[in-house]
Amino acid sequence: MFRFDFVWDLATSKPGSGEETLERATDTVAFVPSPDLTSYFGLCAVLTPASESDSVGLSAVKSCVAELEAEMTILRTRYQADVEMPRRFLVRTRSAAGAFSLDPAVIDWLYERGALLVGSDCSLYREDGRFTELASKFESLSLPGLFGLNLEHLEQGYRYNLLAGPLKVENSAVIPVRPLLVS
Amino acid sequence: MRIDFSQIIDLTLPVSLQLKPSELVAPYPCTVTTYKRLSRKEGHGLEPDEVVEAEKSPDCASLYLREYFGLTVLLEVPDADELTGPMLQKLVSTWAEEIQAAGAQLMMPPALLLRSSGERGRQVSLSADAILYLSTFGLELIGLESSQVAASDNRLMEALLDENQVAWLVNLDLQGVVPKRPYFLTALPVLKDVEGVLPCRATLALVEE
Repeated sequence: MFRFDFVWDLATSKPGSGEETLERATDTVAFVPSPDLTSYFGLCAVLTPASESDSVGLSAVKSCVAELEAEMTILRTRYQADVEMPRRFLVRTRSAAGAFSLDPAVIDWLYERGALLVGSDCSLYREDGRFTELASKFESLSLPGLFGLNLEHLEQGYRYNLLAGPLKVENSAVIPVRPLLVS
Repeated sequence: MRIDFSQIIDLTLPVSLQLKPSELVAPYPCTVTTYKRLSRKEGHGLEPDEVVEAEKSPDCASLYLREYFGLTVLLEVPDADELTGPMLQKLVSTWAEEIQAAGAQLMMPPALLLRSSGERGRQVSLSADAILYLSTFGLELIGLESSQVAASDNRLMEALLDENQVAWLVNLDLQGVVPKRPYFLTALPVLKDVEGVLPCRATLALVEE
């Protein structure tokens, strides 16, 4: 049997959503869906970068990844632990200071590092209903993303497992999902 | 045991984004499960106020979503219109004997998937005594290929499962699943604030013992 010490529901609340079509029923969505479901399941790192003005920038995310790598290096050298950096990343941009956006350069950088999926608490849409610049970046890279996640109070780390299969839908780039993070 | 996420088996039938969850009725058009609020589940030892708090806290998902992810096994059931309690009892006894012969003891997984041993596409339907028999094992979720849990009196059978704290999952594609092999099931109801029948993405990952 499996026992998880930690199970985190990453879906955001939307009261009354049962009366709406699935298209509008949740803000937690997968964007640029991948036919390969392995992108949505498995080891996942949570990054909690400090914000720079109103946006989380590349340097802050690089610092987070460097911190995790330093931690893993210690485990490998001192304890011969078999640890590796996950290829799925969840990046928290919201904090007590408010909600921030994520610099699209972060997505480029994580993609170059071989990311299979990147998720964040950012919205997929701008106020005028069009996709954000961040969303367009995922589209141009054909990188599976998760938007509108609840990442509050999550601690930075690399020992999480993501369970986030989006609904099976034909002909849509935006798909509702109920993601869980377990460890 | 270790979960191998490098291969995911998709059990899901597609859903339309124009569907309103509040309008879902049997026979269901897509893969659905049923979500029941923690206040209507038993066995968590929580006080009434604690239940509300637990449902609000994302880190308490192990309480309110525990049925929808975990160990599962597929059993092939006799080719019959309706699966009865004695049929299931015989099936489980035979399985237990096989496991004992291999030097181990049967531990029922919290989720069970049922597929007909007959021709492909034959749908398994549960009788009331089959549901009661399954609930004696403390089963938390039952998954079927059929588009509703019972061919007749479906609403009553859904209520019986509900009363016995067994979540259900229907419209699964179980053709690629190996019987009696352990898998890790994920089938989370898609919406956070809705109770009742909800679409889900049902998948299996291999489990290495």
